[in-house]
Amino acid sequence: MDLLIQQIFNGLSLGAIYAVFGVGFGLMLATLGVLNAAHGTFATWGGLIVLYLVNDMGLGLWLSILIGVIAAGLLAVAVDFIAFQPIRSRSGDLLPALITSIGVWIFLLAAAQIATGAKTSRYAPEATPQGSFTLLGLSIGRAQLISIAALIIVGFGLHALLHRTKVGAAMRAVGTSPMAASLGGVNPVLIVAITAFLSGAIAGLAGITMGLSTSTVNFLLGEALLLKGFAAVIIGGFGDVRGTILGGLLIGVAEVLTAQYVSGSLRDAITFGLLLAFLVFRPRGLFGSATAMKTARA
Amino acid sequence: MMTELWDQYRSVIEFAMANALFALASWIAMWAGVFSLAGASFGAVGGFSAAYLDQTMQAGIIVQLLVGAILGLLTAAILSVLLLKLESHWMAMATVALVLITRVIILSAEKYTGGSVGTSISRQIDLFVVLVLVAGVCYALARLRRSRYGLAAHAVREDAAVAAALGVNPFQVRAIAFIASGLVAGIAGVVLANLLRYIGPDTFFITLAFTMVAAMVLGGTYHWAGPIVGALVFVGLPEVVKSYVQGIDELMTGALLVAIMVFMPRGLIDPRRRRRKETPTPDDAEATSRMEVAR
Repeated sequence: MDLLIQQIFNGLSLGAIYAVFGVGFGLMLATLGVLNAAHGTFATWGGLIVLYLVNDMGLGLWLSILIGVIAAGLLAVAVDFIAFQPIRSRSGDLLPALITSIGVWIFLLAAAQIATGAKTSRYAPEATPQGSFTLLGLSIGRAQLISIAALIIVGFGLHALLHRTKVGAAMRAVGTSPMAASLGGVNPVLIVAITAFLSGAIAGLAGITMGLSTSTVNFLLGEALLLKGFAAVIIGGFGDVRGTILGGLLIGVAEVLTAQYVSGSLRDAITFGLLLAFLVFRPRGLFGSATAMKTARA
Repeated sequence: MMTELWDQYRSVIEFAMANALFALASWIAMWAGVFSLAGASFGAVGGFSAAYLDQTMQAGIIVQLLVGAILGLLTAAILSVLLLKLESHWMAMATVALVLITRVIILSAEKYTGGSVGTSISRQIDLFVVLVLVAGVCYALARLRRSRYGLAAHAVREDAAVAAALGVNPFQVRAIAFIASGLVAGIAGVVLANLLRYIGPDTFFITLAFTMVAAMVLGGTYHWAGPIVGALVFVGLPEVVKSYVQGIDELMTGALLVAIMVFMPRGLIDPRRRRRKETPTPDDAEATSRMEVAR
């Protein structure tokens, strides 16, 4: 019983990372209409930058995280400007932006491979939160706490931003209909840039927490996140922050429990099995409305 | 000197043609407006069954190709029931999920696929056979282009509702396209497995799925020659770059893909661009009539 509760907690803290990434990925999909294959590389670069700042520059962890998050956000804005903006003006469907995002993905992945020499680097042990403490019989890792804190900040922050502020209303408006939004006095270019920045920054944060939780970073860090985050978005319901968070947590728990009680090699099977089952039998996910995908500019 | 150069480029051409078969498979689905990345999964079916046949009964290449084609077709037929009822974007995402699951299945079916270690296969194919296969697919597509089915597929892609009003059954047209794409991808999987001589769980994964749609879109989605040109550029150009500068070929590929999509959104082969110079097209006729109305 204790083991079960412990593993559920471990699953939730792993799922928190998937959920954070999924929220950023889903924001770009719902608001900008980009199924972004390069989103995982934003996480990778966020993780790499923080590792470099902490290990080689000797900066403090929190400052490094802040710089890493901002850098990942700016990277996403640059990518949007170069690869998605020119295509957006022609409207069209999901395909052209997906193809340019594949180009960006190949580019940023290769660049990360070159920068790291395809080697896995380890965080300096004294610079990052290590070890665990016991609370109510649960063994809680300090890195796990950071993952969960990141999810709480991103989840509440983004939900409040989207539903309580003018900028958030403008972002939702651009997601529904850019034409109507600009008629309503929204500056779409600015809103698109803000959205891209946020979604990249959130991806960067997910990459950083992933790196901290395993104490290692390599150039493939974001690829696993991309697949799990994608699954979280579909399972949770397209364009819904709460659903994505729930989806991510569900995947994390399902993976850890499968590995513990069934077989370690079936971890991915449960995630992607859930993903396909949802796509085929309940495409709107846990929370999404049936019309979300149709009204979204895709 | 010449033979050395030829040896070096022959393998590039072989791989480009294997990718062209995959890109053609994506194109066949796209013809009827089905954006599918499932070709990688059908390729895995073909590739692993070819390796199994080769290992257990030393089957020749003809048998491998036939079995790969039939199994690819059957897999696509079964999946078309599940997937084709989905709205187009969900369908595209479901095929991504399918590719992810295929890898899991390959890892678990260790007895037949070698699991995470992968499996080897003796190479029984040469460039000539690959070229014959590509030519065969192209011939079939060229014949189909002006056929009843070809026109129906084009109509369904442009506007399924209008096509349905004209008596075309969009579901049927899409299902045929999807199943045909499974057949070609199954063959492509056999070809790729023979060329690589070793296949593992990552051979038919996301990278291949992305490569095939990228090659298709790069070349152009409105003519069957598009995927072949796209695959040649996508596979060939990095090799050419590699022989001059080491280490940046992937950066080049990525940048090139973005640049072509931004500046040539309809791809390298665009029948509309060429036709415009010769005869008036429906598009032109429409434009002319609009001008007349304006006058």
